[in-house]
Amino acid sequence: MTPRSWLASYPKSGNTWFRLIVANLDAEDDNSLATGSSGTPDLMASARAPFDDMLLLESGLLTHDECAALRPLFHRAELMQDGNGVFRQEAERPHSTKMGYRLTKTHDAWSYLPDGQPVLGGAQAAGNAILMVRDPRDIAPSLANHMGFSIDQAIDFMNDPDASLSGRRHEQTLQLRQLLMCWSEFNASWLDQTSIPVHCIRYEDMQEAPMAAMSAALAACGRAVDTERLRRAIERTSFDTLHKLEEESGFAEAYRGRRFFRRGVSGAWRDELTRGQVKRIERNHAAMMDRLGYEAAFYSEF
Amino acid sequence: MTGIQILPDTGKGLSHESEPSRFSHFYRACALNIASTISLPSLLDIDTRDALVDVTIVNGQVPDTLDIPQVTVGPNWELAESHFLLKIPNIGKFLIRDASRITFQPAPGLPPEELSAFLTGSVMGLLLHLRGALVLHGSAVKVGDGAVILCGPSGAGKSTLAAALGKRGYAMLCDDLSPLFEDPEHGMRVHPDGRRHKLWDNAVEALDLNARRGEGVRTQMHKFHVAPVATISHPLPVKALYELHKSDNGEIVSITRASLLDAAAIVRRNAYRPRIMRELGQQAAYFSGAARITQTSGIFVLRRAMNFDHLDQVLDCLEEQWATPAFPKAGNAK
Repeated sequence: MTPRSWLASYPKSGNTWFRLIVANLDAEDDNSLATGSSGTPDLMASARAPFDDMLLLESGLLTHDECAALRPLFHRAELMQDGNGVFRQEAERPHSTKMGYRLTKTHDAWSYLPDGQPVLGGAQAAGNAILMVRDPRDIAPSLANHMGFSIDQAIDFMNDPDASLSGRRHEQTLQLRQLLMCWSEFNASWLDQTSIPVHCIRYEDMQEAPMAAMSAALAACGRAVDTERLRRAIERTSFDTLHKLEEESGFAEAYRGRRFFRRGVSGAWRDELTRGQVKRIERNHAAMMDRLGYEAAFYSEF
Repeated sequence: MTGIQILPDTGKGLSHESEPSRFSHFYRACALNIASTISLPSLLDIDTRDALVDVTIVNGQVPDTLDIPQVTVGPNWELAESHFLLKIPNIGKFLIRDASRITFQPAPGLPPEELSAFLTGSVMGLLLHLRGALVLHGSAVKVGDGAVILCGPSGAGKSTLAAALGKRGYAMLCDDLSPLFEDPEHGMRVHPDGRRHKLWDNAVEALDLNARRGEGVRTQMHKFHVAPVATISHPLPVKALYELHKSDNGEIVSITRASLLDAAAIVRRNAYRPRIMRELGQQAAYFSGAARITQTSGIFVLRRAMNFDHLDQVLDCLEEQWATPAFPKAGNAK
C-alpha cells in the first residue's frame, strides 16, 4: 500500500484536532499533550519549503500554475526517500516511519492539471484519504474569526468557486496556492474522485462518538488501533485542553495572531448567525448539506 | 567530493574558453568571478572583465540526462559528484559541469532572459554547494564591523527585512544566499552575493522603494529587482544569525538566544539546499562549519508578526539588541 493518507478538509473542519489525536496515540506519557506534527505547517501538502528542497528550485520564481504543474512529481517523490531524507529510486516501504505511514494534512480540493493529472499525484502519492467535513453553518463563524473576515465575507468566500488559500499574486507565503473552490465543490471533489478510496468523517460525529469515529477512520487508512491508547489520546486532546494550551503558549497555525481553537461547539451557529445568513448558506449548499446529513433549518422556504 | 572546502576557489580560474567574445556580461558574486552570455539583472554591475573567470554561464544545448556513472537521479534532477542537471518543465534545463561551467537551455518559445533569476538563484546556490561551500539560505546586512544573517525558508520574509534594514542605513551584503568561507587570517566570513533585492510589489510599496524598483524577475510575476540603498563589496565576519519565524501567539516581536545545541541545529537546517548536503554526504563537514559559526557569533530565533504594520517595531527591537554593549555575546535577548 502507498504509505500515505491524505487528511483533507475544508478549513476549520477539525483537521488539526484529528491530527492531534493521532499524534497522541503514540505518546508514552499519560499526562502531557503531544502536539506532534500538528503545529508544523511544513507537514502540510502545500508547504513551500519541502517542495523547494525536493525539486531543488525556488518556487518563488514560479507562478501558481507552474507550481501546481510540478506538484504531482513532488508528491510522488516525497515517498521516495530513505529514513535520512536521501532520495531513492524505489518508493519508500510502508512502516519505514514510526507511524508506518504518513498522514498529510491538506486543504487542497482534489483538482486536475490541464493534462488530466491530479494535482495531488493520484494513487502513487497516497493510498487513501480521510475527508473531514463539518456543518457549513458552524464553519462560517469559525472561518470568519480565522481569516479576519466578517461572517458575511466568510459566507461569500465559502460560496466562491475560485476561492483559494495563499493564492495572491503580490506576495509569497510559506504555503503554495491551495485551490479550495466553494465548500460544496471542495467536498464533492474528494468524494467523487476515483483515484483513491476516501473515508468521510463528520466533525459532529467526532464530538458525539469520538471512539467510533476515530476507529473507523484509522481502520480506513489500514491502521490497527489499540482501544485504550485511543481513549487516552482523545481525553488528552479535549477541546478545553487545546483551548487552554493555546491561551498559554499560542498555536502555530493561528492566522495573524487570531485565536485558532475558538469554540469547537457544534450547532453554535444558532446563536452566531442571523436568519438571513443561515438561509444564504443553506441555499448555496443545499445539495451537499443533504448529502452529508446536515439538515437545513429553512428547507421549506426554498 | 564529500569534504567541505572552506577556502574560496582562487585557483587558476577558467579560461574564457575558445571564444572570449561570447561573454558579454561579467559579475562578481559569492566570491566568484562570473562570465555570462546573457544579462543577469539580479546581480549588481561589478565588471570583472579582466579578472580570472571562476564560473561561466552559456546558453546552449543541455542533455536530458547526465551520461556518467554513479549518478543519483531525482524527480527533476541528476547529481554526480561535481556535475548537476536540473530540469524545470516549461522553464528550461540547467547543467553544471565541474562545479564551474553552467549551460542553460530555455524551454521552447521562452526567451533566455526568463531564466536569469533561476541561474543566479537555485543554480548558483547548487553550484556553491557542489564546490563545498557552506551556503546559508539567508539575507545578510552589515551591522557594525560584522554581518548579521537573517535565515529562513522561502516566504519567511528575509529579503523584506533586509530591505527594510537597508532603509535604516544597514548596507546589504546578501539577498537570499549567504556563502561562508573560512580563511586562517579572518576566520569564517560571509561573502557578498552580489545581488539586488528581490521583492514582491506589496513589499516595494510598503517600504516605499518604488524609485529603486528595477526589472521584474520574470515577465509574468509581480516580483522585482530593487537596488539596495547601500552595498558592501568585501566579506565580513559573521556577527549574528537570526532564524525568522512568524509569531504564533499574537506577540509582535521576540528574540530568543539559542542554546548551544539548538544553535548548531539552526545553522545546519538553514543550509541553502539541505537536500544537496544530504545527497553529497556533506553533513559532517557542515556540522563542523556550523559549530565554528556558533563559537564566534550569536545565534537567535526571531519571532514576529508578519505584517508591514509592525515592521518598525521589529526593526527597533533588533537595533536595540545590536546597541547592547558586547553584542552578540552578551546582547540581551528580548
